[in-house]
Amino acid sequence: VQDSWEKGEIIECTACGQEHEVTAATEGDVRIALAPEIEEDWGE
Amino acid sequence: VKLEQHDVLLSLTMLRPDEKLLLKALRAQGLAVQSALAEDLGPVVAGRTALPRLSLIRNLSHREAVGAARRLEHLGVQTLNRASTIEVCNDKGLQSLLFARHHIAHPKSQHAYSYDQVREAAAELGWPAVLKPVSGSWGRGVTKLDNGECVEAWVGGRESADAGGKLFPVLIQEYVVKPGHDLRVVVVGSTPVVAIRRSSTDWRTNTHLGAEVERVEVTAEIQKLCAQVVDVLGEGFYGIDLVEDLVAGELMVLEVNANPEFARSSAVHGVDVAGELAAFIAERVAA
Repeated sequence: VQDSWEKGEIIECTACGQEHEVTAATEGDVRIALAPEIEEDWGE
Repeated sequence: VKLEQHDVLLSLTMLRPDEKLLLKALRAQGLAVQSALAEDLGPVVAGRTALPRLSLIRNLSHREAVGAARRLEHLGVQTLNRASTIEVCNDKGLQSLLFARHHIAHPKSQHAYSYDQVREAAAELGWPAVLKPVSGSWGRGVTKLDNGECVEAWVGGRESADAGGKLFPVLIQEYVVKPGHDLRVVVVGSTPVVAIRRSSTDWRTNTHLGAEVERVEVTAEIQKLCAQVVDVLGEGFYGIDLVEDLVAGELMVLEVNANPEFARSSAVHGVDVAGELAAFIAERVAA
């Protein structure tokens, strides 16, 4: 867990490469979940 | 309880390295920034938080981007980009109509609303032709149709996934013979801040598909095309894709992206795109 993490940030597990999303990043409460898969209407 | 007012609300689907750079750059400008995922917009729209002076729309989801921009504009918040601009940029068909209307050089394009119209448009434009979903990014669904057999193969695959034809229209475009690369120009406000050449052995030159990038000079011709686009769409933050047509000997606009990625390419070309955009936003907020 890093202090610089922000809610919504995508982080990569250094051990397995799995991407996770930081779902909460307040003092004393940092939570992560599997990052969402790319959806059809995502893009530039 | 009203929360403190922020100068900038950064509307997001997720916080990628690009948006992380933007957050840092905006804060370096002395701006108070709040990042907001879709659910975080609820309290803003409900009036439970003070409104930001400006919202930078960086949603990966096209639906979320337009929805967030529209609602914030209705609340009186200036958005970058504007909802109407995002809508146009999210639809290659609308772009082709806009470019034609304003005489901006662009490959010949036709809308097709049925499989028969795909066949007709491709035959009329000549082989090869290019088929594009009107909404899509990173080269997804873009298909080169070399001949009628390719069209029938595309139709066969598409019919099984979309028997009702709900995903129409699609865009059929003339194939541009290009020199193995295209150009991506990043525009901040009305200024082209950097141009890169994207080279690939694939006929599609999306960096998502592995194209290599190299910085090139922003020539007078590039500036002119970008100025034409900005005249039509208004000042904003754009990734404008240009392609050199070797047959016609001219540069043309392929498409405009309203949510350009820059983190990976900035590491190659060295231009601080996030810093340029943050400086532009600071000016807008102060105005």
